[in-house]
Order: sequence, then structure tokens, then C-alpha cells
Amino acid sequence: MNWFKKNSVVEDERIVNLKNKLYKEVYVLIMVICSISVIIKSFMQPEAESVWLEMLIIVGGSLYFGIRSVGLGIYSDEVEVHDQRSKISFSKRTAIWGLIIGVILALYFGIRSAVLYGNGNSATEIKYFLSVFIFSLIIYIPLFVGVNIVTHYGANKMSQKMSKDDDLDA
Amino acid sequence: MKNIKLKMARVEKDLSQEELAQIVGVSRQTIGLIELGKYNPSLSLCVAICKALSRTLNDLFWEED
Repeated sequence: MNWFKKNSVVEDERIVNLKNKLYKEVYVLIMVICSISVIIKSFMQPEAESVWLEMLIIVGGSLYFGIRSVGLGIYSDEVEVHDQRSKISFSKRTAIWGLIIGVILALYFGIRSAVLYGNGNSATEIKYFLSVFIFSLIIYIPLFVGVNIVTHYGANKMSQKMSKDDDLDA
Repeated sequence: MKNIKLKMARVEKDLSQEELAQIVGVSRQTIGLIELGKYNPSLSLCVAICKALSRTLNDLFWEED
């Protein structure tokens, strides 16, 4: 019965692995290009409409990745592996990232306001920068830390449930 | 670390890297990189190579201390 032997031929996993690595690199490249485009456009064309497509690609790609990784149960697996190896827990790391994102966004909005509305006067630029930066810090740090922590706990719970369902199937 | 055992088993079977690759269903480079120890194959690929060379996993992929 040689007919069934063909099925045992394995796929060249090295090529598959390298292709997956390339897809990952392409994804990172697209995200970097879109982010640069958003930053440049927001300084050159302050209207929000001009960056919708880039934001759709960035947010859509991230959402798809997040939903799929929770659905497959790998999010909780990643958290488990991370917590086994690292001194800082994944939840703390998520909160720290929320803080970093908040500071970066506040810096970005501060610089943008100073450049766009400072009228070339350094005193006005510093005033705009500081007022927008401090106000953004107050808003974005609690927002991103909170959203990150809540999303992390929700995603981890759902992912754990998915992983358990897989165990039951096995 | 180079996989000398795999290379020896392949030569004993009188197979080139290309012929072994064709039997297993992978590229010649993959076999070459496994022999050079530059690529770690999955268990299913190891089993396929063992079957093609009529050896066991122990014979080809177990490293002595």
C-alpha cells in the first residue's frame, strides 16, 4: 500500500520557519513606515483625516494580532513563560509599558504644539510645550496604564480559558 | 556542533545530500545545514531522515557527553 506513503513526506520546515521570520520582519517594517508617516504628516498636515489609513493599518494589525493570540491561547502561555524566567512579572511590565507610552505621547503632543503653534518664539514654544506636555502626562499616563492593565487581565483570562479548552480536547 | 553521524549514515547508504533531501521532501540546503549543525530539525523531520537512512533517532541525533 504505497499510496499512503506520500503523506509521510514532511514539509521543509526550515523554509517555512524562514518565511515566517520574513513575514514578521515585513510586519515590523510596515508598522515602522506607518508610524513615521503618521509623525511626519501630523507635523506637515495637522488635519486628523490625513492619517486615518495609517492609523487603521497600525490599530487593525495590532488588534488582529491580539485577538488571534488570545483565541489561540498563546497569550497566556507567553505570560506563563515570561513569569517563569523574568524577575519582573508580565503585569508589571505591561503597566511600565503603559507609563512609557504615556510619556512618549505627552512628549510628542508637547513638541507638536510647540512647533505648530509656537510662532517661532522660543518663550511661547516652551510655554506651549510645557503646558501641553504636563496636561498630556496627567491624561495619558493613567489612561494607558489603566487600559494596558485591564486589557492584559482580560486577555490573559480569556487566553487561559482557550488553553484549557485545548487541554480538554487533547 | 556538526552531525557527523548523519553524514556517515548518508554516505554508508550511498546517498548524496540532494538524494536524501528528495527522499525526505526537503531542500538540499536543509540537509546540509543539519549536517553542519546550523539548523535544528523538528522531531518529525528527524524521524523522516531516520526512516530514509534506516536508522534510529538514537543512532543519528543523540549526542554523547
